[in-house]
Amino acid sequence: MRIHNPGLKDRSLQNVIGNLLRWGVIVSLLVVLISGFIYLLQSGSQTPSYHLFEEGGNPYTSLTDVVRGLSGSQTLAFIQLGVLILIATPIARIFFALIGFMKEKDYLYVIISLVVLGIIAASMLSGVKG
Amino acid sequence: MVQFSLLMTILYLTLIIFAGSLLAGLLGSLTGLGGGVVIIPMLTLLFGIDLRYAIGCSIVAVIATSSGSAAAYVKEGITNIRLGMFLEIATTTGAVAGAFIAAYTQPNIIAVIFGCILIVSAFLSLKKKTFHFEGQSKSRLAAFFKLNSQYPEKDGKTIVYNVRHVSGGFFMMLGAGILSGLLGIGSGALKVLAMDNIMRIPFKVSTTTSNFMIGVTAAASAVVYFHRGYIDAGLCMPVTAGVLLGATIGSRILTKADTKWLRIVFAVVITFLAFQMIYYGMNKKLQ
Repeated sequence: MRIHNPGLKDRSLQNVIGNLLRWGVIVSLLVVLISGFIYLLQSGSQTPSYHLFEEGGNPYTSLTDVVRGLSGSQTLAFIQLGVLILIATPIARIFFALIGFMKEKDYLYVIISLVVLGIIAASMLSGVKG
Repeated sequence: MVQFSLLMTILYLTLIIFAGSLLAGLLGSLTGLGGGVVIIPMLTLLFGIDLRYAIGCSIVAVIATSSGSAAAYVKEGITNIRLGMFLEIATTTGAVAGAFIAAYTQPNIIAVIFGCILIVSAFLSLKKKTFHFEGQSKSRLAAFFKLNSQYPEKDGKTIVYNVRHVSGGFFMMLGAGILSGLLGIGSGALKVLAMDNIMRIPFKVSTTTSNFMIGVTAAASAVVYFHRGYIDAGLCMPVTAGVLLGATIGSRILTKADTKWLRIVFAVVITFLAFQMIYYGMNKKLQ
């Protein structure tokens, strides 16, 4: 029986995936912390309302909302951008693995990576309103 | 208890949630249960925050801690990337399904299910880890999907292992994915259980590969939560930062500390929180 390397044969790609995960977390955390600090300076003295979830109460529930908020310099939109970078990090990781499997000509795993990406893409599209 | 945070300003609430999340991340990493299991009861029971916002925050914190630690494991070459990718088909499908079920389920029912899963997780965290991998296996699926692999030990030895019961493990992962999407947790305990007990993978490989998968699984649920408005920027900020910092400190201490007693204490705390959540779900009228 053939034994496969646990990682990808391309060790450099394994490092790329490791670095991608690390930097994704660092960048998103920096964005969240800096904009969070400004948010607290601006509205820290207000009273929060998290006791009850309101349908439509969250202003940032799509990429368009966030982009619109960013161009209007809304601090909360910047925090949400940081959160989105974090969510995108593991998804980007699948892309890099896909490239790795292509280089190795492991087409079975190219398909498996595409299936996982497809499932996430489907959930993205199904959530888009309108 | 709802009144507790009504009296607070955003600044105070943010600081207190940050401190609580730091502790949750620290304990979660020291005991191997993850931050999500403490974050959700803390936000709902202590701060009176809506369960849906709590779930949204928790899933974001789960992505942060999982990606942070996966970065180190992947480089060490212990993570079985192929096995992880293969099982992610099951966990992401489950997660998306779970996140959709969550949208059509009463928060009270989710609170009760959460409590039950907490009790199971607490029990699993105390179970003695047995090392039971077998060198010989004739699983055709494992060979077809190239799941059999090897990993380097600290002393430089290479350990070769085979994967068993691929379809059983796959279905268990589907279940772990559904729970992750429904409850906003990483469900790492269930993932490890599937790989340890069913697929018979060495413990080191199953924990790191589970961690590798948790990020993608959580991202799949997070996408659904984001569109539903569960992910609130102001609330996610202190939770994510706190849990991540706590988990980082935890992983530094982990190699030095004896966690046996900590595990027991934590399991007792978790069980207490679990009953609180069940009580809360059964008696409190939620929207």
